[in-house]
Amino acid sequence: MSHQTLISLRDVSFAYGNRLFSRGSPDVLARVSFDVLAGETLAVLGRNGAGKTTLLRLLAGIFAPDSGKIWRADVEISLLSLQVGFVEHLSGRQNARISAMMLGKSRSWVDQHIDEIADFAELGSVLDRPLKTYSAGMRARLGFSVGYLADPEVILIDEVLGVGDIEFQEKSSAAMKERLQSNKTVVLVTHQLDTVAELADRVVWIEGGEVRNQGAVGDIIAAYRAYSRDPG
Amino acid sequence: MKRSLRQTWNLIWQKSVSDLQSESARALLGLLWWIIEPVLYMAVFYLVFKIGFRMGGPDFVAFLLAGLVCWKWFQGTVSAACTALIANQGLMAQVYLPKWSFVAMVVLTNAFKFSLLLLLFLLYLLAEGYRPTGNWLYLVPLLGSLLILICGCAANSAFVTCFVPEAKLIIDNGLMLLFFVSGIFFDISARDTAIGDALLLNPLAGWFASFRHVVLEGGRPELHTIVTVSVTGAILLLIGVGLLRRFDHQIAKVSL
Repeated sequence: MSHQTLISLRDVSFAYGNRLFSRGSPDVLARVSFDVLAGETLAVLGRNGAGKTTLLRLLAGIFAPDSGKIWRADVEISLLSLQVGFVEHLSGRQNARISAMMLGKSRSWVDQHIDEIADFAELGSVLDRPLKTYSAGMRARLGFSVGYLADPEVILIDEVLGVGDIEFQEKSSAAMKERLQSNKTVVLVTHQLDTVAELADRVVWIEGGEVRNQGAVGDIIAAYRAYSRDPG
Repeated sequence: MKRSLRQTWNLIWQKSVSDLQSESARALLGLLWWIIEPVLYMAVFYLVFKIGFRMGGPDFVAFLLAGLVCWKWFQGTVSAACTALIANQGLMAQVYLPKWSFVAMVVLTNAFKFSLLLLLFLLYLLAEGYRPTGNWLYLVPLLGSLLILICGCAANSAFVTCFVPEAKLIIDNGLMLLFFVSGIFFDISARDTAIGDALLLNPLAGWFASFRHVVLEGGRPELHTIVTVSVTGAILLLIGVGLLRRFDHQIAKVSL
């Protein structure tokens, strides 16, 4: 891991407002500040509704902060969105193409990697059949394979480490863990403390939309466990 | 997400092609439905105005088709643009795409359907004995000017209906009003002078008159019509795309 900052958040606040002219909802995130460093796996911990998914969308540039600043280095940052842009009536191949392009890949990249995607998803000749004929597991495999092989420079993961049936879950989970343990820059949102302890280099703990603590994995997990047992 | 303008355009193109493929795969008759649906639409107008009201002379079918083919392009695109952003809210929550790109996809898919219809219409004219002249080349700037106007109207419709969904009702009724005052199924120049002059203040009315003049009479279009429609469209396009870019991230929030 280097200490080069790839993403920097300073006093970022964000609220969902459902109409342009109406008053916004309460802040989902309030004055959030932290950095994402090159090569690290940064885990984001927090209870349901803490604002973790919204935070990932802000990091991905899907949302912009209402106040505060997000700075991003000139690198490819992408949320691991499985089955993004999938259309029922198109073939697996066509869906893989459109999905990879949605994730920032070029058409030529898709043409070069389509066999790899089919192999990883274990779909073989089924790839040219319409998606509507796929089982849920086959769709999950295809979606995961596209997302996994698209491999942006900074990958943002919301809980998903493994998908599909037990066999593919093991395979996809192992592949993803291998990537997390490599020099890849990853921001991982998860409730699984064991996963955080195993894979993360640092942790940011979000509570009620604010950064409650951030730092070394062991310290934050211990504090989070204690808080979860006795929030008062 | 880092995405160059070229990548964005490639994605718009690919997504538009996928949408067309998906639409044709969903319909029992596939591609044919893109032709059958507007032909049925036009048949209704023919039955009502030619047989019902006994309007027009021997060239009335060509006259009517010339108006309806282009009107269907304009109306179909603007109407579809009203739901372009709302219909893609799931996608917007997963990946970043500039919001104008969703409008561009609607414009592209409808332009493709229109090009099929236009081709059929021109074939019909040839079958009916109309002969192409050199002035048919004026169709390029003429159709180009309508495309600019369509893009401008579509961008603004998409923006407004995203924040105020009820605006779709107003836009739909506005389109209906425009349909009745643009000389789609009647000849504006044949109206009472004062009324005809007033109706021709609407740039679309002049555009339809010019289009018919070129394809049915082999004449030249009015230059000021092309300029007026192009400039109006360009101004609307600048405003619409400007709004979509200015409120790009608010649109992602609103759609959730």
